[in-house]
Amino acid sequence: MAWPVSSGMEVVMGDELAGRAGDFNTIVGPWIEPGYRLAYSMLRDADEARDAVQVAAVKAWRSLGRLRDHGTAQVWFFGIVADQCRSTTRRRWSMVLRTVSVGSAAAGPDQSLDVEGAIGRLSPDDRAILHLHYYLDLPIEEVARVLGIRPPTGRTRLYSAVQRMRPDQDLMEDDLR
Amino acid sequence: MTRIREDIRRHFESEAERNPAPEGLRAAVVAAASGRAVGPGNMARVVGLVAIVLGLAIVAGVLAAGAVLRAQPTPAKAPKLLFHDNLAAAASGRPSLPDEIQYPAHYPSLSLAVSLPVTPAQGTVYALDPALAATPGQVGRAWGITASPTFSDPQTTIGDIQYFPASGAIDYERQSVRISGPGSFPHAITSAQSAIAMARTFLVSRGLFSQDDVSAMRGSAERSTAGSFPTWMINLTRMLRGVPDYGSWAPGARLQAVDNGRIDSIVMDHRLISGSEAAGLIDAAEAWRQVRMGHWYLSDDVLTNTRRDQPPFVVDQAELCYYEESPVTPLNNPQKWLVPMWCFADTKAAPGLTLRLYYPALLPGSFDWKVPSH
Repeated sequence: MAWPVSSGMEVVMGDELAGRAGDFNTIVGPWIEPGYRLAYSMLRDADEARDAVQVAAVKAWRSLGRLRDHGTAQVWFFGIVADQCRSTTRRRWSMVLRTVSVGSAAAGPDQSLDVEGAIGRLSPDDRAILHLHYYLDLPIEEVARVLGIRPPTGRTRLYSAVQRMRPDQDLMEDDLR
Repeated sequence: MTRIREDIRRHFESEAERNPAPEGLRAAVVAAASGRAVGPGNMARVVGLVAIVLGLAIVAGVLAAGAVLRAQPTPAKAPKLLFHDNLAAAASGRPSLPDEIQYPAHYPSLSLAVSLPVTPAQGTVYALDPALAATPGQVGRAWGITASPTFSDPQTTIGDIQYFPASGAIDYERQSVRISGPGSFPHAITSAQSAIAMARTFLVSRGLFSQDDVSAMRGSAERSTAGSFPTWMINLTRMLRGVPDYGSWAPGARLQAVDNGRIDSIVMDHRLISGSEAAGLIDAAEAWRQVRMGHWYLSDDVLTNTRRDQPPFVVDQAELCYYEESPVTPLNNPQKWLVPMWCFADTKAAPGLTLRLYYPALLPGSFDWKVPSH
């Protein structure tokens, strides 16, 4: 079901609230723990990740009425989580150094790749792309929707993220699938 | 390549094993989202912030080598002013404030460590009109980007630029040192003053703000040496007739640049003003009384989302200000006015973090809003 978009400080009481909570749990609940793992991958801090997911859930609760197709709840909720993670880093902007390039940090041709270190040096959005595509197996189109970018941009960013991990390798288009 | 893919997958599997979702997370989050009781949580957020700084310091160290910057594409000629405010025009309509989505928070300990400011005889209310914002095409051309914009509410993507037309907000981050990004200063940065001055000039050169706008902005710059690749954080706060404009994004602009003048990111926020009107104000003492009763309009942030009661809030700065809501989160009822606020700030809430509680400074009955009770 979809209920009207709530506005502002609307107060919902009793059974109606319980019903909404039940629906919310059914629609969004399954994606909360995966959302936490996405947030952790982006923020790399357990408390920040939990905060981000909680705030994202509050926002999702308030705008659940906009979700017309419950089959897209995963992408929709992940998008809110990713936005919240970006917001978290922006709010603490003075403490955050954004990543630009990690070319020199990656392993040379004969060295084994330090995946942990290489991923850790990527930007939160780059980590999100790798997490969504390679760990959660979301297709690029859905990754792009989560991050609010066009699919071609998503593919380019995926390529760039992997390239930044391993700049010594020439990647082929098929490698990214 | 297959190996890299598998390595990446294994990394995230391992990360999930090492940092499993907290037990009961789903139930707690659903309960919190629906406004019901939330179980106790911990307060390690500040520690987390420090960890992020240390982690990213490593990143900064790595950035130093291999930086090959392509020539920065510049517009053929200086763009016209993209965002036009009409400060002097008369506002029409009744001022109002949207209902803000806030995580439930309560401050059981609120105290003043500063004298309250004198209340001005009058304040100013500004009406907002997103129709005054530049088109995505104009924004792209200001950076010499010809890619077709794509719109996905609420933002438009123009190359690597995220543009939010409804709020005049732009987020442009250089994706790699090998590609062009927001631009470069004409000279290396030698001091905070030079960083601020070049940032002002840059904003004008891209048509993002007028010379008068940037001259009025409150500027600050810090050089972070956490890594081996020092980075300047330049903050220019928008000022409206001497009153600062705050928000969860960056009313005004924030730039991140390295010593050689290369700009790695710019985040800016510029709500378009269509008119203004004078308004009577309540005094700061009354606003403080209301805040202490839990009637504050909103807060910049909370230190913990895992429980309602927040740590002690010590106000060490009180001033008149404005607030611009985030352009990212779509709201049912977007902001249409910049209403003067009394801002009570705890500038030492956490390392590098200032928290503010806002209470509208307009006389009761002169504007529409729903008084919250936190």
